[in-house]
Amino acid sequence: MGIFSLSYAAFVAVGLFAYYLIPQKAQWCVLLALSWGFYLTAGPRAMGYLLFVTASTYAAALFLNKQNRFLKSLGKEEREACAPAVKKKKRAAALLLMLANFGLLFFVKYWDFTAASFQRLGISLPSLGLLVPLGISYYMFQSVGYVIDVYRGKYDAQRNFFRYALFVSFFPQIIQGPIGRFDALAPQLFAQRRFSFENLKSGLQLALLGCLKKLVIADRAAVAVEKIYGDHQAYGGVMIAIGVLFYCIQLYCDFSGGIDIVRGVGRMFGVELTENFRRPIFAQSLTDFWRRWHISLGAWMKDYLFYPISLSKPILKFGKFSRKKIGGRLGKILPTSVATFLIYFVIGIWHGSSWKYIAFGFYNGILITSGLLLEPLFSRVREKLSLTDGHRGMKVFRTLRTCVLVFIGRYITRAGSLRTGVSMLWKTVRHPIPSQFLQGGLFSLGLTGGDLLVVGVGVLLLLVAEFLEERGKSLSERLDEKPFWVQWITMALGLFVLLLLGVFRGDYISAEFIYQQF
Amino acid sequence: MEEKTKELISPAGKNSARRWCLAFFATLLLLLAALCVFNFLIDPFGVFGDPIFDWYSYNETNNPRAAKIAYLEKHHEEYDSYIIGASSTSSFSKETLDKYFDADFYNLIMYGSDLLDVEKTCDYVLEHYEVKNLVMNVFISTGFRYDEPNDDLTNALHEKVSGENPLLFYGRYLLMNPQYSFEKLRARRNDTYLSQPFDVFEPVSGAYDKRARDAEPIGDLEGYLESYPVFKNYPQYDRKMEHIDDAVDSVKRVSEKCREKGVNLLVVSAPAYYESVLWYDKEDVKEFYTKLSMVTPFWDFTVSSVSLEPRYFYDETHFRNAVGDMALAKVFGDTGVYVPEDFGTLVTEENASAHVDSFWELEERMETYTKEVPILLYHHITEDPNDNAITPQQFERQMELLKAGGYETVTFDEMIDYVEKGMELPQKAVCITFDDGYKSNYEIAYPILKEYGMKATIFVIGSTVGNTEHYKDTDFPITPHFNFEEAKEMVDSGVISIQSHTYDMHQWADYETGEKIRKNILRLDGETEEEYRTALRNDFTRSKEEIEQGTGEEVNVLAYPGGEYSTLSQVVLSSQGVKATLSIRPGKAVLVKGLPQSLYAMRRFYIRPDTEESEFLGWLE
Repeated sequence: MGIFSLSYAAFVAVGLFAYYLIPQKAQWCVLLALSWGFYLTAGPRAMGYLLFVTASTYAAALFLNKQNRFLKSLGKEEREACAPAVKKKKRAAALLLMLANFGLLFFVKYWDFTAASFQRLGISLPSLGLLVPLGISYYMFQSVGYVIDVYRGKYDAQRNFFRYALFVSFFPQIIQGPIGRFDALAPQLFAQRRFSFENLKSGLQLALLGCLKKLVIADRAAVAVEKIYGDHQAYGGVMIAIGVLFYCIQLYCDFSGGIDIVRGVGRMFGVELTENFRRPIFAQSLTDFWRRWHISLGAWMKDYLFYPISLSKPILKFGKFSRKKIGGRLGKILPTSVATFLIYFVIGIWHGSSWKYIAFGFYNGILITSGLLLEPLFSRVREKLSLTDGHRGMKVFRTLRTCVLVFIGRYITRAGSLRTGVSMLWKTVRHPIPSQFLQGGLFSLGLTGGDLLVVGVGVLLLLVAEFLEERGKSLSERLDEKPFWVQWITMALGLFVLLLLGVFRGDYISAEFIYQQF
Repeated sequence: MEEKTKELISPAGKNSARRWCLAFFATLLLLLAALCVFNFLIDPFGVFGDPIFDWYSYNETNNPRAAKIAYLEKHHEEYDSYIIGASSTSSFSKETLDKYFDADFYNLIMYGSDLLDVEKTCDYVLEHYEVKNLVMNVFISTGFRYDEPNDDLTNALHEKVSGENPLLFYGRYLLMNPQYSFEKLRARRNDTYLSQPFDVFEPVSGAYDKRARDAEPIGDLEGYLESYPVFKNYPQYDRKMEHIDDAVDSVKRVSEKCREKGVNLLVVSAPAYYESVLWYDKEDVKEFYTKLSMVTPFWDFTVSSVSLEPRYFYDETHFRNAVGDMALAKVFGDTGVYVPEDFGTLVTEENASAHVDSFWELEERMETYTKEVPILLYHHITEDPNDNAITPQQFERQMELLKAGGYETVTFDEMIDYVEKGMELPQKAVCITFDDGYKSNYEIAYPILKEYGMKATIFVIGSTVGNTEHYKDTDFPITPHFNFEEAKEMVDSGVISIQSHTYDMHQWADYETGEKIRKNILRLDGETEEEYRTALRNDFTRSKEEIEQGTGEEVNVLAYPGGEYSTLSQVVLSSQGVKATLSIRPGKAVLVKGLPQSLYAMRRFYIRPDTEESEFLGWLE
């Protein structure tokens, strides 16, 4: 059941009725039933993976919690005496848990890729051909984050298995995030609440926006993307760059549109899910981009990977070494740079099992790390040009620069392979063949003039809206201040466009086409 | 006052969210309702009775299964007999069926249908309409496809036939993609007299509207293969018939129902292109036809010499209407129509197995069914030759050559009989024609022809018949044209046939005073289809009437002025009873028995003053 389907809408509607009609004490049970029910539609095997992750993290957290309590219950001296042993136990438990979970993830998601890579080196490993269970990267990261928090004693573990299971599987977010944090999410899930039109309204607004982004813009852009990436040999560099641009549009509208729906549905149930996109187009640097794009993933990596790595013994040792031997600014930031590089490498791999994602991780890691290392140079240049950080031109320059860097990265992530992505990029530089574009190339991408107009206008509206949001108030706040009829017209227009240009897109079969088959 | 202002600026109060939500759902419902009304009124599938356009040729193209039943709900009283089956069924024409059965047929061809669709539709028709005759077309592919999904808008059976919940059925057509309705509006704007890919059906007969395809001239095989290359590179499949029993059971149930209702049932198996028959396993075909024969005797046309001739087919799987006529002539023993000897067998339990065995020995049974005839085109004959006039000596010499070469002249009547009835032509046949109707044809050519025992056809321009001095009623001088008295004398002699070169659609631009000048038969710029059809019809009718009155000979051949023609001109002329038309494209005319299209826009060799003897003889070979 895709989240853009009519059946999903019906599912949510039924869920809402059940949720608000049932006694408030049992509301969370409805959410769990809905969530497991929803996930079951992905098949019983997927459910098995979900239960494994839930049960293992549940048990690990309980164990860690017990150790934390044990330590707390001791007097100061005893605590100091026992601490090393307890810490060892805890560490062993946490490592075991992570090994089990990430090991599972490795087998379902990365084994075949690894086997294929070894094959090239002449080492033969059997391939498993496992199907990657829906959303496993999301709910596993969410659960492991919870275990680490408990390990760190940030909060107590949840004792009720079913309540905890709801945290892992809350249906709006299980398939594509955002990756939530237990302390922020769980209390909302277990709260008892009365129906509120405010929640329904803001949820519907967000979901409507998400549907528009996905069905009206992304699905159209996807046609051009499919055409150009699918037949890239036929195109010169300019058309390929246009294809990549369409891909950027598609990816953003598809992913952020999906998250809008997820968050909108969450709001209808009174649950505020963490923000996952914050106008990435206006990012000032690649680091800033990752703070605005897929925020919950970046934040997870920062909290649960970057800090532990930065504070790990080898890195600390390396820090000491570099400060002493290299010295200066470079010596100071080198350890951080290594950790940063590692993070982006992992983010790359997280996206999928292919060399292109590894290269994508490298690409981000190298750029960001070299940015850190070269900062003194940049700052000297800025001084010479007497440009302050707040200078508008500087801001525009940084925004554009970031866009270009992200754009180049997108050559690789959508291409069939790393080699293809690189050759497409090479073509853009060396063989642009602009005549293809000038001779109406845009109209040969499977999109009509009307479709191109819809994408163009849609993207423009989105940019204006995000620009306004960037400068302050959110769009819905601005709208709420307007008279009711303005709100109504906006909503009616949105619904109309969605029905006409979104919902019915693609299911039209011309009779000529059918008839010609007979 | 202050409070009111505040509310205006910031109406977002506690109640506003509630209002917004209610407005949201109300708007959604309203938009959906608008969608329903729009789809209902435009009704691109005809399921709501097409209240505005009543345009069933379009609706049936979108979904023949549903739209035809919707059409019949309103019109079934106009019919008492039905022919039903998949797309090849269309080629059994209503007119021919009506003639042989003495009934009013409706063609329930549903493209892409399988025998389960057919059975269900038969059930409904037999239960709800008055039915005297039912013709069921069991195409060879029905053993291969059965119970195909019917869940799209475009291939759903009508709820009355399928028994589907009406709410679900009509709901789907109300809430469907409005693009279907928009497309219908767009098509409506682009609708033309002849069918286009969006309106392929003819509502009254129920069959495909093949007027345009049937107006397409057919000549030599190479030319046809060039136009339809699929026959050169025929698709290859390996098909197992997995639904033989299903298909046979469907036929059995329909046949039992017909017996029960006292309905006359005729089961036919339509002609197939030979290479498409080879898609199927031989044993499967045998099993299918043998089992079918146990349920009911049926007329089988699947494989015959027809199956090897691409020109008898519109495309790789659909045989022509002309072939459908041959098949029905065979069933009804009509000897007036050409039917290949090996075409059609009444298959019974006794002969089924042997009959299918004969499919695989086809090539030995081929017969001759085409004839190449050189048609010579002359104009004026004069001592003072110009571009298209030759001297009497040249003409006589050419007649001499024909005679010496053993050529026999044939008339258009003979060629039409060859095509329609299969009557043979002389081995060395040649046809002589004159365009325009010059007096020299009467004074010089006619005596020479008589002398050499030759026959010829003269195509006269109605408006200049008998003009001896001036072009029509102008002062412009004209090469003299013979009059009807002279024409009648020639016709009565049996040497000459007088046919049409239009009444006044071959005007001399320099001599005309009117604004619209018709140099040829084509539609004028700015003329509507309707105006053009009327103009052409009136012109030909006048030409025909005057010639028939003047000579007593029937007019059914027309030479296109300047050799120019269009699909529409051919359609209009065919509907006026014109059986043969002539172009000036060089080459021999290729006649094909059973294909009236081989008489359309026939090629001719244009004789000029500089035509060498060797060239002339080369044309004849």
